[in-house]
Amino acid sequence: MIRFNNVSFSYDNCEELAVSNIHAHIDRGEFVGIIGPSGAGKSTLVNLINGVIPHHLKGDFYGEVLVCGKDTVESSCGEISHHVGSVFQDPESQMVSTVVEDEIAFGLENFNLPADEIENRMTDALKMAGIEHLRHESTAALSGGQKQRVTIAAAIALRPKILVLDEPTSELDPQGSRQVFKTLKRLNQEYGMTILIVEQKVMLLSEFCSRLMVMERGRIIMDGPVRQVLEHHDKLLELGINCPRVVTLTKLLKNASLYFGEFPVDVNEAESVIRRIMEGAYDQYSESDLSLQ
Amino acid sequence: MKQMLEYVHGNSIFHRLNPLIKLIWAFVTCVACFISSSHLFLLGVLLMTIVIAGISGVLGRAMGVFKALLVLGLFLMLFQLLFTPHGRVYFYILPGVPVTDLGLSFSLLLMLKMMAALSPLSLMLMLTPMNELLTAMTHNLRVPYRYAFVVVTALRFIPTFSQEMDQIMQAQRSRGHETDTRNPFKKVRVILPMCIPLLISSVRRVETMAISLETRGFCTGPRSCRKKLGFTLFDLLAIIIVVAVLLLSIAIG
Amino acid sequence: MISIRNLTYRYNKKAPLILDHINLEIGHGEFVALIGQNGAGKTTLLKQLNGLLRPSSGSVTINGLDTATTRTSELARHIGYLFQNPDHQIFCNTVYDEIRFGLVNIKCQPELIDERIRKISGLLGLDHILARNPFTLSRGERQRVALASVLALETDILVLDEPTTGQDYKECMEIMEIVKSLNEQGKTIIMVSHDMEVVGDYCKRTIILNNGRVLEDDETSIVLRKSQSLGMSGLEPPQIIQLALRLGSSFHKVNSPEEMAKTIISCTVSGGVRV
Repeated sequence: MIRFNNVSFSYDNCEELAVSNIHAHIDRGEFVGIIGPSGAGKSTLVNLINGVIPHHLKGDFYGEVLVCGKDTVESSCGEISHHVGSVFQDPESQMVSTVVEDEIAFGLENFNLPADEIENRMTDALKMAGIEHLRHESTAALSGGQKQRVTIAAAIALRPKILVLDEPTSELDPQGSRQVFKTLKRLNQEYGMTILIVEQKVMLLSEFCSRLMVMERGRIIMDGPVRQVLEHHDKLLELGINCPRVVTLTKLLKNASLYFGEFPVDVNEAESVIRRIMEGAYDQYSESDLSLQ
Repeated sequence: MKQMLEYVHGNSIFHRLNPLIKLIWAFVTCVACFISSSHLFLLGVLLMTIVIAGISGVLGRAMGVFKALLVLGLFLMLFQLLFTPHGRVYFYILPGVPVTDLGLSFSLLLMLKMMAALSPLSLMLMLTPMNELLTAMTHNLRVPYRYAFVVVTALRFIPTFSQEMDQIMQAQRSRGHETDTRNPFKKVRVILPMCIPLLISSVRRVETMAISLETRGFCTGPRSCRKKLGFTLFDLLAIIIVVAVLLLSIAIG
Repeated sequence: MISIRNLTYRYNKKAPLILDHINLEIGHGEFVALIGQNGAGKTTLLKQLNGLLRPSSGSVTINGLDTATTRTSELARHIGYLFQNPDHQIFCNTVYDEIRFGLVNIKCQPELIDERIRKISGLLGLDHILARNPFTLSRGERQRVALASVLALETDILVLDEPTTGQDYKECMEIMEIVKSLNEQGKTIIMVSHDMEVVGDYCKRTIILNNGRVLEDDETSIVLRKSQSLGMSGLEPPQIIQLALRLGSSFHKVNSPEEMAKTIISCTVSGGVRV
């Protein structure tokens, strides 16, 4: 679905490479989290997929990016938007309208779709994002989480197969952030949408994503299923990347030779890990207890 | 400022009026008020604006606008009063600065003109969603979409920027900067540097917006429109009234 | 030190209450977290502290000064306020001037200004960029510049509105370590945060604000165990506390992964704690 072939890019007026020698392949239906310190090239990676680079932000571009089999250099930003929907950090700066409905219709009207088609797609997009009830609201009255879900709906109204998001929850409170991630999970599981999200909240990433990419200084230095990446817990902390606390805990239990299995990614999994450890110990104890009798 | 230009959600008869009519109404009234030199006509227009605001349920907001315009108007009036020495002298404010009947009448006219001309524009913005305004401008008035979009987006961002300016001023006050001086010249000197953070953050915003537009096919080709804005009988009636007002203003002189 | 009595606030007479009968006493040297949903009134409450907003009724007293009658510029000598977005605060051409700005405002003696700037920039690791234009710096650096310009005023109370938003983990830790050391030097810290782990790791006392009212106010480790109050405010306890709550009474004092691992190990070694 997305393929990076040895991609390097440096912005105009900047000698350093923003990303260098990126090789990556993302399949249909994946839910990929991208994490890394600021300035690691995460946003650049996103902008390479949605065509903002090289069509809007200029610079030196090496290698090729293929989205749905097409080279992003050869298709325009508008064409790419049929394949890739984009959501950015600040919902306020992305909104062009004062009413939710109009915001979602904006992109559809830009592509000169007939009114009934717009109506259909708008209804679908609102439903997919789970915000049908907000349809007629004024955008000024929405909470941050709601606003960001409106921008998601506006992006998916163009029926893209891929959705890329650049730190969409950084301005939101925990509840708003969770709402956004739940919406993304729905889009991924029920509608098979491929999702790429840049995010600092590692807890949400490990709970919701299937694959984690770690970037540092323009390179992808780790890439794999979430649990596999989290195993390199020490390395992540060294890079200045936070780890979910349940992972830190599991690491400690592994060091104490109490646990040897997979890393849990959320509280539920961690709970069952601990219960197994403690019940195991109890059973052992009661067995030995029995043998004593 | 923010309150004068922001759309107020509603479903009154004036909310539902074709935006083109509202646009024409606002501009025609504005022009008519500038042409007219009749106190009575201007008062009539003001009254009409108040009635419309009342029916549309935005009277409170409109009163705020009137108040702001009134303050501005009184300033104008005072200046005009001081610089019109012709006519019968009532009394002297300062030695050599008379208040005359002509001065009084003329300055009052000026104030009314400004209030009557500007309040319909503000009311129009309160009663018309941005999107409809955009449609009326591009489809009916044939303004190129790109330009119409710029105008409407500028209006849309005014509340955002005014909030941001508040934050910036508060941030500086927290660092002991005194912005609450009464002296207007001092105030300008104090506030001017604060436009720098506003400018920089708006440049950042515009950049995000540009990218967001780019990824949603902005200006890639011909553009369709979701809502067809039809004309109703009431629209017809409204346009007749507007034309009548214009003729009346010319007739009264 | 900070005493808030029966504080209510609304934007105007017809507007709904944003702060609803708040009573708080915050003593010298405390490290307080203020948490709650967006729109719960956290920022409004912070702005009451240095007179950016004034009470509709009730009173706020800072070091004996009533905010209703004291100018913000006077309160600025007692309270340093770091805004959420550093870009709202920064407007000078160099980092040096930016830090100097507040000092000139509070009429700090000219011969002391340079010394204070050197001291504070050393503490925040800004020495090498004093001559740079703040707008060319990274977001993390800009946040530190904004913090430096507030710290330079050497106030004994420090108010921080989401100081770690928009930063990566490393930058976040850097800021929090500085704040922690300031608290250890005796400064009173009041901080709004959405990151329950930061709150749990650093703050000693936590206040939950909900719909303009104080919902909980206690030691952090106690407040972070009130799942229901947190839930009402759209928050949840940090992962380890969630686990501890589910695992039962042997974990009631556990707050960190280390403590939890230790407890589990001790349970398995002594072997008989059914959970």
